[in-house]
Amino acid sequence: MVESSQNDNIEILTYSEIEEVGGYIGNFDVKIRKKARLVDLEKCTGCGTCYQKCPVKVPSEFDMDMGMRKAIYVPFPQAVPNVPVIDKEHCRTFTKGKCGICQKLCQAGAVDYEQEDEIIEDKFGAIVVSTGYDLFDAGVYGEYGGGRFKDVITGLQLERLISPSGPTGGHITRPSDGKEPKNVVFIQCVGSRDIEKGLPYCSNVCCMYTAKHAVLLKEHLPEVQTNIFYMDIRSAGKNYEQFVQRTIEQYGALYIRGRVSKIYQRGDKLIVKGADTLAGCQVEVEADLVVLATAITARHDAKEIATTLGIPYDQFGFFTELHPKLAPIETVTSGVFLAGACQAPKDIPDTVASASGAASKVAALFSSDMMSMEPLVSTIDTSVCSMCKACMEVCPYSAIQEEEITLRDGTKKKQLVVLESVCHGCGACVSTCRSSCIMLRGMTDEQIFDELMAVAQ
Amino acid sequence: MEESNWEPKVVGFLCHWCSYAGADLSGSARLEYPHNIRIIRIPCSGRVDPLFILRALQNGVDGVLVSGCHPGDCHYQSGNFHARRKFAVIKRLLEYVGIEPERVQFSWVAASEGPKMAKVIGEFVEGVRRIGPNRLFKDDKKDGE
Amino acid sequence: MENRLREEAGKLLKEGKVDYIIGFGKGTVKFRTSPLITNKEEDLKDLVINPFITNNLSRYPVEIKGRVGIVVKGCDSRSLTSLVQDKKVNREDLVILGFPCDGVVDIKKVEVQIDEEIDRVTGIEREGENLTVQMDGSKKTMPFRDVIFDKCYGCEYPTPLEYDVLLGSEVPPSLEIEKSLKGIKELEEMDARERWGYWKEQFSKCIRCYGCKNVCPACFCERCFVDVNIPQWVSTYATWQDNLVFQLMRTLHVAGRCSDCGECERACPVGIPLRSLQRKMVDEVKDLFGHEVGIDKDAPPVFTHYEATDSEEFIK
Repeated sequence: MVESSQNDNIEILTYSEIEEVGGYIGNFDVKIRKKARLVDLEKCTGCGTCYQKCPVKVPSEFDMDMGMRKAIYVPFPQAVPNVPVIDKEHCRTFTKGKCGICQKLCQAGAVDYEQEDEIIEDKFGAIVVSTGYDLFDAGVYGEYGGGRFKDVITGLQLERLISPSGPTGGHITRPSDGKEPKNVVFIQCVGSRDIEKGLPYCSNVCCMYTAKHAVLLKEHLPEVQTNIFYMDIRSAGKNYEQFVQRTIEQYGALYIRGRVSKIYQRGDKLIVKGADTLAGCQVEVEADLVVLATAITARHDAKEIATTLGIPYDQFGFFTELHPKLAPIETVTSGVFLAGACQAPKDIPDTVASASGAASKVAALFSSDMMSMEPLVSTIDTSVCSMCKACMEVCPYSAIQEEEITLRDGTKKKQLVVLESVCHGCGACVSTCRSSCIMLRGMTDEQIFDELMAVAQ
Repeated sequence: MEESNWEPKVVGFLCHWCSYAGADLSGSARLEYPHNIRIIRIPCSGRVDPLFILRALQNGVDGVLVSGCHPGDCHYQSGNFHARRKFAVIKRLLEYVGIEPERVQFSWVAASEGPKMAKVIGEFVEGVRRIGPNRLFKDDKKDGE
Repeated sequence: MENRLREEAGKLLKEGKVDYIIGFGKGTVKFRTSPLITNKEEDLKDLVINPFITNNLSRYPVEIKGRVGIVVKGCDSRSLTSLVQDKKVNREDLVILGFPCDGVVDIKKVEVQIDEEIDRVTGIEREGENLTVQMDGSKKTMPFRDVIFDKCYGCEYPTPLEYDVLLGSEVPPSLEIEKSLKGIKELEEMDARERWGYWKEQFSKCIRCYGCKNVCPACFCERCFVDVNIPQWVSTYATWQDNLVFQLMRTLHVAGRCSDCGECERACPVGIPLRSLQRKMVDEVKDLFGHEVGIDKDAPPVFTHYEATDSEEFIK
């Protein structure tokens, strides 16, 4: 990330959102709102005095609510740029009208409570979408505690416990009493592959990260026993299967094929009741810590993002690729490409591959001034067009635009034109036009008429 | 007399990305459907103009089938949504003026639904066979003509 | 009312708020009105409001460059709004003089009531709820509602919904909608074969005068589909088959934009009951999509818009 921020050809706009996208491939008009972080990006030196001294503590989103952050904060130590943002909803200066400590103490004078959002409007040739994912809320599973048990955590929360820059400084301890766990249960497919209460698809990454967690836990806590309840283990990537085998053989992970029916508290332990379908019996595990591999979902605001960008999404909110096999990186909107989990749950190697693919597609696009396209697009006979603009309303790609031309005698005339680079050749405009003044090349009325007459012979 | 040998002649407007591919698939799966259908490939069900249907019937075609992608799956996003509105109105008007409803049918068949395509075509042709040849637009013949 | 109208129209021209006034003027035949389109103040004295103002004047603003002051009844005002929805007219270029209308007289029905030809009539006056018909030496009175056009029984919006000046007090919707659907109901009673036979007979009369197309405000296309000859979808020769296909297509093109003003049926020289097609589709569009033309000028036209929940009951 630091490398990207130092590259002359890359401008990183953080704490910003896309408001509007217009135009078409090669010529997107994008309106960006740089939200006010209330700290001046140019002046801040990243010394950290402000967030050290801030009196307000708020649960940290990055630490998945397992630790705290301040009202003025940098989400994680490696953040780029290393400039904090003020959370107006919790900052005392905004909620109570008095404090101002960070501004007083900032030696660079970078804290600016009056800072306003900035709107940037610019033209871009292509758009790559890599807006990521969210996690399924396991609260719907009352049998796993429904969020009541402090020691039932998600995989991402365990990551924060393991991380040296996390809320426990890398010490894996139970959230309830801070003791080191001796017996840890992992439950796969929480929310995934569940038609009834969850999502019908497989989240791709959980089998592998759970195995990784089992390995890391064993390395941190040599006495720990890990138990993994699974339905199937999906380890299809390169060396993945060997990794899972090592997890079992070298790191002593116990894989139990079966579902967990209930978790309940007994004293300070959690009793995990499940099935072992290979042994054909019920099992009960006394656990200190339970880790749920929750499903990957689309971002909660994925649909709004997609609508702004003019790309379609599926019933789960994942962005739709042009073709599931032959074009997994492009979208139906020429010039908008997908990378990473926003298209479908995927792990790091696949994300890097799709991002590289998106980057090459953009590079190919930019490698010349002209684009070659399918010629089977619509054209308008402007001499008979009534300018009712019904075709414009119907076009899913906004390929029809109004233009003003100057006639030979100097008068100006408004007419409609089809943007050939955007038209995909569906013909919806043709059937909408009541006077047949727009025609789809390659599928003209004449051609269809001839076919029909031949059939009707 | 000609009626005992009569075979329905039916035209199908199938959208390239879904229904036409579905028909292709049923062919490669060796599923049989009646030979009475003549398929005209169109890019999208949204391309269908009601004139195609009326003209087909006027020229003596016994039935018109229009098939597109399932709503939400249109290769061109919204072509079939617009078509669906048009089709609903066409169906009501044609029935109102007295054209037998079995002669004009609208379906959604996906590219993967080879068996469904064969079934849709089969059932459609049978429906047309039952109601007999299309004499709607014929001038009344007098005896001896 | 006429005086108020002439005053308002005069004001608009004098103050330069509009370039033309479009209203009803005296017809060339008695008990008829003709459109009056003028930019001269002295012509405004010929503007009329009487029981015969059946014309749908919203046909004209499309062809006039500039701003117009236009007189519209309930049905016409919805046609006008439909043209705004279709982006053929700008609302800002219109000053709408709305006339709340409780019916327009169908001379043919008067003829039936008096059992005479209209040539014998010297005068017709509206008096409250009655119509008084003067002939040489005799007078006959009849309820006004008995001699209005069938379309007027079906009027749900007699008061223009979109207007700048309202010429008169609001009129409530008709309570006799069923009466306007008589023709449609009769057709619905027949079986498919009978219905087709009926339309075949009707369209054998059609001479392709295109009166229906010319008088309809929704038919604003610079080049009608019927005039396309590559390919020749509809023959220009007036066979009943081509006549029927023409009218069915026109019905489909106009569906969702028709306000049942009934002018097509009135204009037809051979008496084809076109309202039985057009009004039927008005009701079908309302049933299928909940769409009524001209109620909301910002609503999208019915076929350029769709809902995810549109009816699929007819899909197999």
